[in-house]
Amino acid sequence: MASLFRRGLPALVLAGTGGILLARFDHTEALTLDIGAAPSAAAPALALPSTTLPSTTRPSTVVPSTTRPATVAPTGPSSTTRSSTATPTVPSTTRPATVAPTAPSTTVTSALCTGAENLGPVIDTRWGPVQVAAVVSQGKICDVRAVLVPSSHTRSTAINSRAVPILRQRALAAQSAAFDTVTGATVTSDGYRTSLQAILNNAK
Amino acid sequence: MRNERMALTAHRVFETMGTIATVDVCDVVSRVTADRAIDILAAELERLDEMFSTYRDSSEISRITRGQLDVARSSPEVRDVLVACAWLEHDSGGVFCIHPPEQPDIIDPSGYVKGWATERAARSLSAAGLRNWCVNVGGDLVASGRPEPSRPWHAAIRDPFDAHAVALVIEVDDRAVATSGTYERGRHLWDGRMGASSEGVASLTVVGPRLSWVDSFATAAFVMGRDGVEWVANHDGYDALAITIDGELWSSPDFDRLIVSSEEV
Repeated sequence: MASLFRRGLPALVLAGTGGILLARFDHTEALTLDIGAAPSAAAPALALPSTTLPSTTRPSTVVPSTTRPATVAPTGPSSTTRSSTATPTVPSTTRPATVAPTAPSTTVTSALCTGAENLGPVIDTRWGPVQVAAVVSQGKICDVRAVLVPSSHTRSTAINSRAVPILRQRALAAQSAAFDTVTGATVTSDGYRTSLQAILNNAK
Repeated sequence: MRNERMALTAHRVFETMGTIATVDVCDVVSRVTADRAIDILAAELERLDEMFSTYRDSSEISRITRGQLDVARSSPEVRDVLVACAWLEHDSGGVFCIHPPEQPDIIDPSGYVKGWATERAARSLSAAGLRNWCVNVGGDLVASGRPEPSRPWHAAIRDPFDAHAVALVIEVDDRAVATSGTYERGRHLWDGRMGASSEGVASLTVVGPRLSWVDSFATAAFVMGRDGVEWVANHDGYDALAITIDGELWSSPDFDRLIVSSEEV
């Protein structure tokens, strides 16, 4: 069961999975959510008109805990071996590195759209200040990025200033690696829209 | 830094669903073909936003909330989304919930809709015969094929503590990626379980085959905290990475294989 997993077995289980150890492993403060607690019949009972649900391997609902090979490390990525014991988070070796912050470029050039970057005004939202910068050419947005976004965590400043360098040690290579696109929590606030709109208005 | 996109056929940035969408097409096709497919994609996103936006009084979701529209008479798309949300609520043990705890009468499926709508709209690119493209709507993205024959799409995961910085770069091979984080915490990130919190996690990224689930899993798993990584990885083909407020990285083992840069340090 999930509770077994939370008692400390995963550290052993993971030794054979080949996962990179990413950070200090400390799992004693696990939340109480039991992913296996919901009745297993509930999901299949739902009729799905055109939506395919991802399959979920949840042995805790179908396998009695006494028969479950909780301490056996799976040897391959096949779906039958993926269980809650096979996929816990894992700690990591820290790679020493120097930090090489990249300065944001002020001009974005692509084959199709080129222009100077314009900085929008800071907009206060209920989550905090928001500001975007955009490259606008002939009234069209070529590129846009968030310059200022809310950091709403209540323990923010002190912890963040300590956390960033640790993160960057690991992330150095990522900063020098080329990428095509960026994933991040969505900027959906009206502040983003307002800041961007101001750029567009000024660009006309 | 961003790649030089030598093979870029079309690159369009536009506003939709309250955020910014970027579409890149790298197929060797005419500009007209690519533009037409992107037009259809953008129109579909707009249509779905009109249907689902909680910010628009005229949307079906708003009318359902006000009691002016019966779910049984709503569009098939709305019913599909509500069924999927019900499954997510079950699957996440109640963490994913379309009813804000302080306003139980309101229906807000935003935590599912954006990813679902993006995945759905992106079909117009495949339907036009395009194979190599990337659609990014507000940081949630789905990628198909390759930007260049020699490599898959590379997606940067934003540093949750610095909007300018990149935490990691990962390979995205015919997959979808989405990230949830405190730094953009919006209305959809409450905890359906009431009381528990996402203590300790600054951002959580999910990778998997379908953006509908990738996006909604990221939403729910972020609220679960580090346990969310395990919860995501219990779904076949889906993996997760959490960045804690202390700067630690927690990932499911398969996620590590996607990291582009780690060997270069």
